[in-house]
Amino acid sequence: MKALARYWTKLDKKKVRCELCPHRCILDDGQVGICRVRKNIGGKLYTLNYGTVSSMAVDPIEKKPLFHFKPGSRIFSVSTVGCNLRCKHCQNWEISQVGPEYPYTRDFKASDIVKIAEEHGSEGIAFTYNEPTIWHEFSVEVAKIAKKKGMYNVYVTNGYIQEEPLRELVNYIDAFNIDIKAFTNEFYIKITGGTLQPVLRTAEFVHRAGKHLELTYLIIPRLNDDPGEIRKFAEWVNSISPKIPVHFSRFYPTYKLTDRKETPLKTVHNAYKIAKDVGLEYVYLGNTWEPEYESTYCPNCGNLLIKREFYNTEITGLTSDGRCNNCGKKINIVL
Amino acid sequence: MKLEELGERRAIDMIWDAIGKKVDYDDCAVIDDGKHYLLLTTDYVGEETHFPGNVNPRALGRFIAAVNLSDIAAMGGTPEFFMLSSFMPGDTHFDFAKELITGMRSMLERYDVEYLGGDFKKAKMIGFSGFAVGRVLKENILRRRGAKVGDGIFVTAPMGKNAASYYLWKAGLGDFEPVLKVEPRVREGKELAGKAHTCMDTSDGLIASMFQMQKINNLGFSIDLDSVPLHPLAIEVMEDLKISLKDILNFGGDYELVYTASSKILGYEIGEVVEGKIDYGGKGYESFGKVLDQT
Repeated sequence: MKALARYWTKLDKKKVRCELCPHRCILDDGQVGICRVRKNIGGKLYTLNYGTVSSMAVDPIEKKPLFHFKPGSRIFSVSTVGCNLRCKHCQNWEISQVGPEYPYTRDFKASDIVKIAEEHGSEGIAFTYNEPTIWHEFSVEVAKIAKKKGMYNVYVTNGYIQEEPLRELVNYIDAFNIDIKAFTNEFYIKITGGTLQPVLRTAEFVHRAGKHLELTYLIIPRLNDDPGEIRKFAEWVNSISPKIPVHFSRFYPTYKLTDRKETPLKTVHNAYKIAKDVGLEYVYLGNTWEPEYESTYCPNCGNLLIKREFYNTEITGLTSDGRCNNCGKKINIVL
Repeated sequence: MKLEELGERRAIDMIWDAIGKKVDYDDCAVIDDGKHYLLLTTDYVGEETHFPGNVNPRALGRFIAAVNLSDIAAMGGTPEFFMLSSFMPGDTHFDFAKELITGMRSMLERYDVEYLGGDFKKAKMIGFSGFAVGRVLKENILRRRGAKVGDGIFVTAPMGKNAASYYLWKAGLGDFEPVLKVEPRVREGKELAGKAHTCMDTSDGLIASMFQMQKINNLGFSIDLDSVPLHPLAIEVMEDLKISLKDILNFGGDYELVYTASSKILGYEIGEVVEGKIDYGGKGYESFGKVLDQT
């Protein structure tokens, strides 16, 4: 539904500039932003998808993926329509590359979402599937109510957000998974329609704010699979913190990127090696279905801490205060 | 006499003279703490001495933490706490400080070291003084004194990468960032703890470390320069830029550990502890100096 947006400035001649994401769309009266869900109506910016829900489900939190935050829990997940990027390989393009005209949506109040999550026995809410940034006003409202009730909030995002709304967001979100879609600006421009720097800035901001952060890097053959690029990415992560969990995921042909096959196992195994070599402590592979690359090991003594097979998660080597039960090392994990 | 004529080592000697106390030089100060020794160390890193003004702040933050942790590592200890005093010109952008702290935090997190605060002051040039605290079981401590005749001399990893990066930067062929890329050898130090007879880091270069060890042990250190493992980048730079081995090994900045032990525990053997006299006149020094002069 329509609601007055926040984070925008008035320009002359009824123009407005949206300040929610780094695109900073300048919109004439009647124009809609790149995200398809923020519109200038009569010189004021409105969000068109306030409370507009496209999907709801209860998922294992590992599916986000978050491996170091409430492992083994199931989380109520919710999404809207639209996106501020245009990734040619989007896996959720049916809901991300459409606007509010999408017929299969239902409108909810913020308090309804929290109530439904509670009814499903979920202790938290995940904003995921499509890009949550573009329903910032609504997601913050939901997250606020959930927080008041002692629930936690999870944000799965492309990180394409301006600092001011992000500063507000981190007050209410407990854990983030940010997609780093590649480590070159060229990829971002050609494949996603965005740029790399703002995404890195977001990840760094979230870490500095003391929020739980995990990163996902989907490896696509011949687009972002260069070992040098992977190394640069890993070194950047390491320069923020070696304790940030990193998920390398395998690409499967989808949406507009069907001219190449799935990523060879060899490529993701090599990425794993590079990241470990750089010094990252928690590296995982996604879409390979190899339990040894999905389980968590103590970076100090190698003890198996969390065993994962598909979406079965078993905590095997952790004390209740998040230490390795073999050597006592403090693990970066929220239980 | 002015400080620049005196040099760092003699200046430190003079400080102890003024205090009126004789101490063994180690990488850290050592304090009795029951079953353990507390290890305390402070290291200053400053603009122009250690890095140019346009340095990458995150790399610098990592470096400041790393060089202090390296001292704890050299004594076989586990670093536990870190403090940092910062000096910056008033017109420094706040992002610089933020980035620097990010880098420092990343390095501290790697070794589970807790940051306990510090001081922040305005100054003409950028400078940082780190202070680290560590702990080691008494029987495991590694000191500079304790070498035995017949001990092998070992280093933890190939040397010269940071020196080579420096010479590349100086020649306008590379960034300064790799010069600051240092990994404190905490894990290696712990592995050596209780086994090696002596240990120190190579922050001032292998040659300076050997001089120190020789002086304190009153023994000769015979180094076989052909066995000193060199990083491939160092070999390349020596060939391409006509930099001598002496310059590479004198530069320091590697922060590897050099240790003596009756047999190899880890790393590479580079020489042997032999009979010799105090100061730089021992047999070890002569052969070291002679070979160096030929390079």
